[in-house]
Amino acid sequence: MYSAEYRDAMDYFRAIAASGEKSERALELTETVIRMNPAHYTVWQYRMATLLELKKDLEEELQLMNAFAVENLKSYQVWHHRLLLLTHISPQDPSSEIDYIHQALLPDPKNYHTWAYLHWLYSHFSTLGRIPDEQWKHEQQWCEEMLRVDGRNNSAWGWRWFLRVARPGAATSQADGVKEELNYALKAIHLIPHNVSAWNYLRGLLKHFKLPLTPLLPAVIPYTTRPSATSVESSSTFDFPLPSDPLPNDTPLPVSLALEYLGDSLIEQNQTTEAGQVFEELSLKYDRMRAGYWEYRRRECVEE
Amino acid sequence: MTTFAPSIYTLPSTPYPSNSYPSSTLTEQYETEDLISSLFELTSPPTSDIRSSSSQSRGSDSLPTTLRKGEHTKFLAEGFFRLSGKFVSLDASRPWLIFWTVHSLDLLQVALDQGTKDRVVSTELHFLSPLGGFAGGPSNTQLPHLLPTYAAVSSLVIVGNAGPGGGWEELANARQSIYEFFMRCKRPDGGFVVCQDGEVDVRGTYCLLVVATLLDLLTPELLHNVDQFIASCQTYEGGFACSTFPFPSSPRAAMAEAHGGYTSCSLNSYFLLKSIPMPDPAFPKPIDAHAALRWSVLQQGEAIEGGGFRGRTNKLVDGCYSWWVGGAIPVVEELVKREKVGRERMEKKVSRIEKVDEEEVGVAEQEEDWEDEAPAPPLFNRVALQEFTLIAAQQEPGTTGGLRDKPGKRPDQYHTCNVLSGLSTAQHRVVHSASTVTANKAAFDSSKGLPAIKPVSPDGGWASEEERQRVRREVWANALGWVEEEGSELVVGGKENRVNTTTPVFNILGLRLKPFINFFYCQDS
Repeated sequence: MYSAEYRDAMDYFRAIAASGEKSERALELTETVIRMNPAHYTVWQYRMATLLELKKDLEEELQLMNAFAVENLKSYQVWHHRLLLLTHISPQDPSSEIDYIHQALLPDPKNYHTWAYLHWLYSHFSTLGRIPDEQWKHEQQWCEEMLRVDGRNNSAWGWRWFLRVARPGAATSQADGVKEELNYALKAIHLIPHNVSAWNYLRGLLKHFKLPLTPLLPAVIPYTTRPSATSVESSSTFDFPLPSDPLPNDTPLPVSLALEYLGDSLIEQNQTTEAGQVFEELSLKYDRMRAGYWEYRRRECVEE
Repeated sequence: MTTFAPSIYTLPSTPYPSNSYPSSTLTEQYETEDLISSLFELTSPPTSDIRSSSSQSRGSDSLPTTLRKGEHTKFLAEGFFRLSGKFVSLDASRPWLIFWTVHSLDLLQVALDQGTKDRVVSTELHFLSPLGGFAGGPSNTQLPHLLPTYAAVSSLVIVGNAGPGGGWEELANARQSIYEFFMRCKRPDGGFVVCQDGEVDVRGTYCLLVVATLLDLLTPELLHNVDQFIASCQTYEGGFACSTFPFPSSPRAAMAEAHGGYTSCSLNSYFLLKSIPMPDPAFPKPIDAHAALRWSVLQQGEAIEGGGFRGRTNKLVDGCYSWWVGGAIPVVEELVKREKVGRERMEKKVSRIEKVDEEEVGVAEQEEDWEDEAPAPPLFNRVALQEFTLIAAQQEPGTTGGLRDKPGKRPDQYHTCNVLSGLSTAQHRVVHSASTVTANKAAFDSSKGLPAIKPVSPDGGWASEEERQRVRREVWANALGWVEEEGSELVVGGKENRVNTTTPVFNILGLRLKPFINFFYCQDS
């Protein structure tokens, strides 16, 4: 059974909500309930409506939330309440909120709610024209620092995608920007060759900008344990970062995602038989966990 | 079969290579690898095929490779009947608690007595709001919310019936008000708030579409832009994010990284949208099904992690993704198949145009549906996922029972339900059968149905009664199009480990889904 305290509070809330009372004691009551059950969306809704009706200082509410969020990072309601507060406060300069979110990510650098909120912050306030270029630059540096500390943090990779590709006015809307971004992804692969995040980012870029995989092969072939001769121009004309020599320690070869890349590049070059062989190797030898999937990819090559 | 779905015990237990680059992701990864692999080291391989299981000694509930159904049933029953104080956090999610429990019991082949079912129905009806939709608890205290609406309706599918007090009649009477609640949740960009002043994300979309499909509530105004919303949640990785931001004059942007839960909601939503024959041929806005498939299979953990699924790239495996990611693979498989058939048909058309005079015209042209195809290899490792369930996701024998995220985590109803649902997907190969859909369509009686939904805006409904009936027929026929492939059952650890077959997209047993949807479409096939 629920505690007597919780039951009493809920009885009281029911009465207050039924009468539509928006008052200081209603606010206190909602805080009491939310402290016991931060997932109580009805109480959150009532609290926000009361704050607005009483024209309360929403900055003060934000302060309260700062203390509250730390204990309830996984509650949808806490983050949504915050989003509504920022929408209503609508600061000319949202940078202090951005700083707060950066701080919140330090102890919990993959918290999904926090990252989604950061996406919203920049999206919302840039639409209002309140994110100056300096702020974007600063944010990119912060994101790069996150990736420097943990290059496998896929949330930070997703954030980089937003900053560099998805947001209106992102750098990759120019050709130079795309090249820069491909370089960044390749360098990340060369630093941590088994990093799935970096491979996915590279493939995401190529697909998004409808670029072929094949021109980047010289940067990928060393991870496949194949001779680099086949269909690859001499490396002197190759203008992208190459793997380190020697490779980092503890880098067993081949890297499955490099083989996959090779397979897809071979399909691109209409060498489907060779591509099928690559997928067969993945299926039977190098990535047995996904044997069925690679077999499916192999059959696709044979059929076509 | 096991060539393409090898057992954990036959695979090398290799750690995630460090590349000499330590980071917190790697530290956490290694902790998890140790936890899980040490459990596997303590056990010997379970027999990996139902056919060879008859000779195995049976009965002992404490064998590590046994699905300890008795213990899990006890765990669920205790949570169900004695809500203890610590569940205050679920006070606004009570329909979920019920759904997780009754669906888990359904999977475990445990029948509830009629008295219990009646009590569950009357509890759920208590949550039905006069404003339309279900709340997370009593509707005199809580607002209606899309997520509990889904959970309550799904629970009523399982425990309700068409008789007096059985819940279905009450639900039928609430159709118009539920619809109006849905329309109040609708946003111009195609998203839905989950409740009054609530957040917008694809969980809400999925929950709403399932209920609208089952209760025959679909209208053009409800569906407007929903496809745009879903498609723009797909990220560069191929999976889907929680939500999307509608920039005024640029393409929408996904609001975070790809995630298993949101990918499940998005793929299932997309599948439901695909079943609706909208007059606009560009509906639904396409997604990249191949990329979604690739992302999904890449989430399956390595042997050292027991072959469970993770929910995001470079995160840890967790039993709940057995359903979110594993359970969506049959759906994405079907979507990929359709893309391929669509492509081939285009190519065929081209070649036919080239040789029109060869009197081939009209041979396959009238065939609106494609044939069922020969079996494909399993797209994820269904053996490994079962081993993960048995070895890593079950609470230790002789303790509380229940299933969990990973060793060291407490079991709960949410994980129990999702782990078992994923286990069902791994044991049974369920495919969307074109021939079944065709047969369903032929059997559909459009003269029967509940009252048509009244749209909120005057021009929000279907253009004509014929159009409405075409949609009803197609939606109903597709919802009942999932069939288990004959001879494809594969139960690791012996047949006493078998769980019932759940239906992709809906996550309800087929034998529950059919009478329910037939009731709401007034079909009696």
